[in-house]
Amino acid sequence: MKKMLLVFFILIIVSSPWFVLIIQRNLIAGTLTLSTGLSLISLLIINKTKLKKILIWLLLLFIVLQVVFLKSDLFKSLIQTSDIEKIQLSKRENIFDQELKKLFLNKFSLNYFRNFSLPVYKIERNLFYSLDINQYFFNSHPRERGSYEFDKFYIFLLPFFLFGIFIQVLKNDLTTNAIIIFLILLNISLDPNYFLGPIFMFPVIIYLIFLGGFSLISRINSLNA
Amino acid sequence: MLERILSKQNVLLGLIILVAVILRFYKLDAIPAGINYDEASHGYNAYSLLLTGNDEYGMFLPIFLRSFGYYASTLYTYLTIIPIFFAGLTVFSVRFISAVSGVMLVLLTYLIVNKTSLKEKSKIALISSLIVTTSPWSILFSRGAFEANLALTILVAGVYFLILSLHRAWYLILAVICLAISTYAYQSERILALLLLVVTLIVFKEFYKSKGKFVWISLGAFFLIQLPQILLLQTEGARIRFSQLSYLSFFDQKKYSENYYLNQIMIKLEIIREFLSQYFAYLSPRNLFFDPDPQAIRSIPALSVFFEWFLVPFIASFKLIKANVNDPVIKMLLILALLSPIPAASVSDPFSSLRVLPLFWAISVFISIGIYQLFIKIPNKTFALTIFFILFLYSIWQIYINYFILLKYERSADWGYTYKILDDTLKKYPGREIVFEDHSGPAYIEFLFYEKYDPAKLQKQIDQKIKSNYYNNVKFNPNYQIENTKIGTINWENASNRNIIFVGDFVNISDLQVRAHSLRQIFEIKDLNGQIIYRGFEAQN
Repeated sequence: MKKMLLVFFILIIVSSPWFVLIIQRNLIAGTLTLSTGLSLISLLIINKTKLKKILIWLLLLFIVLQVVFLKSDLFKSLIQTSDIEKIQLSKRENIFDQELKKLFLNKFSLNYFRNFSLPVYKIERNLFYSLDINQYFFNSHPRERGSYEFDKFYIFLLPFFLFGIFIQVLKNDLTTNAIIIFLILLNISLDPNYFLGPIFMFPVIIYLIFLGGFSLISRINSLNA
Repeated sequence: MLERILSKQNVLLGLIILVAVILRFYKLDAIPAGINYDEASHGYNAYSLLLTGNDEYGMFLPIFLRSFGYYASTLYTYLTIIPIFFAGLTVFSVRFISAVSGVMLVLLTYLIVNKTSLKEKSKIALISSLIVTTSPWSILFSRGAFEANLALTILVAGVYFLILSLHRAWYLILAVICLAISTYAYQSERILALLLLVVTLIVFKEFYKSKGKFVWISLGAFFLIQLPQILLLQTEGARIRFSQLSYLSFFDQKKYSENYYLNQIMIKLEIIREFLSQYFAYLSPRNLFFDPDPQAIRSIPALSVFFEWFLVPFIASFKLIKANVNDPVIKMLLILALLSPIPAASVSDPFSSLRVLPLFWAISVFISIGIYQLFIKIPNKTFALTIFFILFLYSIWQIYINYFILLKYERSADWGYTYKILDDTLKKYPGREIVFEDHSGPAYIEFLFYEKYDPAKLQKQIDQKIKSNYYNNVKFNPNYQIENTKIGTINWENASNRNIIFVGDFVNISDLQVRAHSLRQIFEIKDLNGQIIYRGFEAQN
C-alpha cells in the first residue's frame, strides 16, 4: 500500500505545474530538488535505522549539491538596492533624524539603518513569502505580485498539505524538523521573483503533502479495520 | 479583601491595563495625524444626531448610516454621541470609543483565558492580555474610529458569557444579547455572530440539550434584537455593501464553455477556489507576520498585524492546543478562529485586516499559549525571562518606530491630515469662492467636520428625496456646496474669474492646465512627509 501510494504520489508531483516548470527551465536543479524531496519522503517509509542514516546523508548531499549548483543566484537580491528602496531609505532617514535625534544619530544606529536594515527586511521577506500557503496552491492570489507568479501545485493537494503540517508539528521528529527548518532557511537567500520559485521549499511541500496523505489514509484504514 | 485586590496577579493585570491605556490614549488626537473619511463621518453624524436627532441626510435615528452610500453600521456613531457631548466634535472624541473598546478587550482577554483548565492559566491569562495590549493590530485599530474594534469587544464579551453559560445556563441570554448587539457595530458581525451562536450550540449540544428553556429564550432575544435589521434586509441599503465588495457578480459574467451546464459548474468551482484563496490568505504567515494590509489606513508601515517573532510561539502553541482541545475555552477560540475569515473571504478585498479582528484576537491568545509553552521548555527561568523581556522591549520599540513615528509621517495624507491644513488655509481667503476637486474620496465630510457645520442647515440643503426613501437611495453624490466652498469638478470656463480659488492635486489641476488657463499658485498643502498634496490657484491678471 505504501509503495502504491508513493508511486501515485510521484506521478502527481512530476505532473505538477511547478515541477514541470523547474525541469523546463533547469533540468539539473529539477532533478536535485526532486531527489531531495523523495529522500525526505523515504524517511517516513523506511524503518531501518541504518538505512535511515544513509538516507539522511544522501539528503544532505542533494541539498549541498543544489546550493552549489545554484550558488550564483543565492543572496543576489539581499545586496542589491533598487532606486525606490534608496528613496524610501533616504526619506526615512530624515524622519528618524528629526524624531529620534541622538538615539538615531549615533554610529551604531546609523550604520545599522544604512547598511543592514534593508538586507534584514529582505531576509524576513524571503522567509515569510516562502511560508505563504497561497503561493503554492493559489498562485499567491489574492496578493499576487504580477507576472512573476506561476502555478505550483494542484488545489486538491491542499487538504493533505494542511494535515501534513499538523502532523509534522505534533510529531517529535527532531531530524525531519531540523531538515525542514534548514531548507526553509536556505530559501531566504532567494528573491520571491526567482525564476524557479522558492525551489528549496519544493521538497518540504511535497514531503508535507505526502505525510498528510499517508497519515490520512492510515487513519482511515485503522478505522475500517 | 484589600490583600486579595492587591495580589501579585491583580497588580500585574493593573500594570498591563495601564500600558494598554497609555498605548491607546497617548496623543490619540495627533497620531494618526488628521481624520479619515470614515472617522469624520462617524463624528459628524454623531454630532448631527446629538443636535438634531437626525443624521446628515435628515433621517431620524437610522438603523444603518447612509454615509457615503454604503450604509454603515450605526452603533459606533451612536456611542460617539457621548464623548462629543462632553468634549465637543474633536478628533479625540471621535476616537474615544474605539480606544476604550481596546482597553476593555485586554481585560476581557484576561477573564476568558483565566477560565481555561490549562495549568498555570492565570499566568497564561496575563501573557494573553499583554499580547493583546501590545499587538500591532490591536493598537492600530484601537487608535482610530474603527467600528470593527467596538464590534470585536462586544463579540468577545459575548464569547465570555458563552463560556460562562457552560456552567450556568442563564449566561446564555447575556451572551446572545452581546452577539446580537455586535451586529449593529460592524457588517462582518452580521454573519459571524449568527455563525458563532449556531456552531456553539451545535458543538456544545450535550450541555445545552438539557437547558432548552434558556436556549429558546436566547434565540428569541437574538431574533428580537435583530428584528430592525431583518426588516430592512429587503432594502438595497442593507445589501449594498456586500454587493459592492463581493466577487460573485464577476464570476457570473465569465464564460468557460459554450455548454451552459459545464459553464455553470466551472463558475461554481472558480467561486470555491476564490473563496478558499481568500480564506487561506487570512491564515498565511506572510500576511499575519510580515506583509502589512495593502490599504494604507488599515496598516502600519513596515509592520504586519503581528510582530515577526510571534510566528515561533504561534507554531509552538499547536501542541498544547491539541492536547487541550476539549477545554471549552480552547474549543471556543478554535471555533472563532475558523469562522472569523468566512465573511472576509466572501469579498474580493485581498487581506482586509479590519474584517477579521476576531481571528487576530484568537491568534493572540494562541500566541500567548505558545509563549508559555516555550517558557516552560527553557530550563533556566531567569534566562527565559530575560529573553522574553528583551523581545517585549523590542516589540514596544517597533511600535514606537513604525506606528508613532513612521505612520504619523508617511500616512498623514491617507489619514486626512491635509484636509485640516487646507481648511485652515482657506480661512485666510474670506469672501472668495473656493472650488475644490478631489476624487480620492468624499472630501465634503472633512470640511463638515472641521467647520462643525450646522447639521440643521446641511439637512435643509440635502436632496429631500434621499430621506423619503432612505434605505433604497443608494446612489451617492460626492459634490457639495459648503458655504463658499464647492466640492466637485472644476469648470474651466470660469478660470478667468479672479474671485475663484481653484484647489486640487496634480491630477485635477495639472501643470498643463495651470499654463493653459494662466493660473497663479497662491498656496500649497503638504503632508507631514513634505510631499505636496494640494495646490491652490487663482487667475492671473
